[in-house]
Amino acid sequence: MARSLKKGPFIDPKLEKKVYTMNEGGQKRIIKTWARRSMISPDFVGHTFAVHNGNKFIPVFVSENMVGHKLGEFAATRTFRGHAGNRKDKRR
Amino acid sequence: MIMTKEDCINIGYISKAHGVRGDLRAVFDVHDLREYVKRKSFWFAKKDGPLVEGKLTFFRPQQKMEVLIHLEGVEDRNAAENWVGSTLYIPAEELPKLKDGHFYYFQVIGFTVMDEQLGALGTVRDFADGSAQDIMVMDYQDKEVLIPMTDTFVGKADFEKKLIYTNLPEGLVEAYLE
Repeated sequence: MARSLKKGPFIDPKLEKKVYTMNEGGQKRIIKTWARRSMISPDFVGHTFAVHNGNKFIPVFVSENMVGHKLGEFAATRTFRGHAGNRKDKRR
Repeated sequence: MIMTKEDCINIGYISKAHGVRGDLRAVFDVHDLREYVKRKSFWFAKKDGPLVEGKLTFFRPQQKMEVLIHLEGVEDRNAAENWVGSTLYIPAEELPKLKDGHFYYFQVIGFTVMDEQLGALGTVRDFADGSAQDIMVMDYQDKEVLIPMTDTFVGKADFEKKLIYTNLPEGLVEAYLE
């Protein structure tokens, strides 16, 4: 069920404060977080978060098309999605 | 022609037989399926088995990364069932050519990570599929450091010096060393 519009999005206040402070100072320091439930606000774009998946921190570089999603969506907890470098046709 | 797995790149697997005419459904794990449409053959290997060349009669892309293929000599469902679970390979030298500055992940495994600010760091051990970006796994000071594979952070690879250039965000390496 969708979250009530009356409530607005949930953005972890501590995280939001950290991002706000960094944006003020023009910094791009990595932010360690356990706030997987926090929604990605437009202010987060361009920042890198180390999102905890219950075992380790997964680095997530936030891009524009991730706004509105939760941070936890980008740090899988269970699914092992294989090794991209295991002699596969993966490239950059 | 004899080919070994060391000379080849794994690009997918046969997921199931399709229909009664010996067609096979293959799942590809490649960057762009269109680059493989004109191929006349692939190499196949069953678990721990040798590579066998299979000539294609047709190659029909389906949804996502699935493809319907038909191999010469596989004319009914029973014959097709024998191929289910096989892994698909192509010779490394037949991989699509990349533009300057681009590389395949497997080519840089073992390279040293050279950061603009931090200098030489550890070595690239592996790459993993992430939900947001692919992730480079680096061994550094007996710890595992994960680096998102974005243009912002990862630059070119120097194949002569075996280096991969990065511009890591402040605090990323420290976050994994704590």
